[in-house]
Amino acid sequence: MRRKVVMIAISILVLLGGTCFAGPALDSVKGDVDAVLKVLKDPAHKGEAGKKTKADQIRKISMKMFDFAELSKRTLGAHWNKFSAPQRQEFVDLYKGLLEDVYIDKITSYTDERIDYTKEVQLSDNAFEVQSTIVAKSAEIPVFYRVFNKDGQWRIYDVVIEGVSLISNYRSQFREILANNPPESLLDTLRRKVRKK
Amino acid sequence: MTSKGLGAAGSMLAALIIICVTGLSTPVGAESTAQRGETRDELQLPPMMVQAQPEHWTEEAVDEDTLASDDLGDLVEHAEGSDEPTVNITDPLQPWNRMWYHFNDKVYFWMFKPMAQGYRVVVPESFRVTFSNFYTNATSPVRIFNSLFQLKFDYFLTEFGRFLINTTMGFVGFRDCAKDCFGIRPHDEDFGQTLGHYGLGHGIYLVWPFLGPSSARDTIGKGADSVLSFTGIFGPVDLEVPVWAGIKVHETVNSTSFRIGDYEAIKKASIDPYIAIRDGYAQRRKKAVEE
Repeated sequence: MRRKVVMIAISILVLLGGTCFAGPALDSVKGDVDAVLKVLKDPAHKGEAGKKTKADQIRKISMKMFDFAELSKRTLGAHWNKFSAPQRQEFVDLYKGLLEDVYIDKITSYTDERIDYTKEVQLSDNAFEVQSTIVAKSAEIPVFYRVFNKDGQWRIYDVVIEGVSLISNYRSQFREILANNPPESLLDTLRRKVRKK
Repeated sequence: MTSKGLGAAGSMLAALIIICVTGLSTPVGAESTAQRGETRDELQLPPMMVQAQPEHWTEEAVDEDTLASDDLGDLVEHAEGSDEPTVNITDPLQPWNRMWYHFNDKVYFWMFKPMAQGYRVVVPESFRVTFSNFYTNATSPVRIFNSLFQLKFDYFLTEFGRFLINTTMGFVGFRDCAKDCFGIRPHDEDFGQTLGHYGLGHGIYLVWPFLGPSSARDTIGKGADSVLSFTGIFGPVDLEVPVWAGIKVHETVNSTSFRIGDYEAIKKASIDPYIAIRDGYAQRRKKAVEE
């Protein structure tokens, strides 16, 4: 009898343990990433033309996945308030353009890596970190998505790859420029960077 | 039976439920979903979102496709995200470090990248993974001893077990049988992390020719670790210098063959690659010490 009770308790623990770490934020990120993977794996898009179609579709999904305004604010931190409204708008657009150039290019070369979703961890009242691992043959790369809830939607405001936060990495670069220069000079650097490609 | 058994099971359950509810994450279930719904409504607008628009605000400035008008409002002081700490590393030798950064940039593009590209064509991926396993196994003592130094006995046991399994069943480390057959994953520990674990900071940022980003602390760590690795123990003693150098070059080319394009992507993505790499180093090492 006693043994039975312990067995039941253990199975409940196992069941709960399994569900404990999944949650709506994780499901949302997984759904978005799956949508991207579906585009990447679509056999209809082949060759150079296919690559462009893929990039366009991924850009569309990323608009829904990411909150670029939030991402920009968190990157600039206190400097954000020094930007005028049109400057803020331009900054968000340029920053988005820069990230899209880089990452869409990188993920369209995606091959057959597997993605495991580990768990979600609450960061604050409204923010979660969804932890995943990209499993390739030679390495396992931890990729964590930081999301917040905006009007009932989970939107990404930071991606942490192998312990390196995207927004703090850019913050350290932008800070060097903004320390001694006006916002316009950062915008100018970004304009040159994004248009050059 | 056994109120004792029930009690124990009950308290385990209670503990798990507390863990679930308080913070690690959210349980999925009808009751808790209802709770979530309530809190979500309250939390829908973070403070920075409900801030009044600044005076110079113009509606025309907003691209309606992309943004709601209150998205670009001022950040409130102490709003979430406005004062996120940045991981820092002091860099008083920046001009000196930048010089070596540019040197390493050329070493990569002129030497290791072409070598790794050729190597990748000639050697199939499965072989390259095999070599990579061997080199990882050869540095096992570094992870075993440093886990011990940090009193992380669970890591010590897994690393020691991995070493035993891979050296025997994995044919001297060419196969990562511990991971493939038993699912035992490696934990990266080194002497720089050991020093960090006991509270020693980086000191200053340093870029070394060929070796790349490091710090005063991690340079000392590398020195200590080279004594603990097999190439450290046997290399200079038993092997001729050219053989030892050949092994080092092969190790570098082999590991580079998996990462061609990563450095290029970092360069393309950054405004100042030197700062991007320095910050990435500081962030990665901070995480490594914490784990």
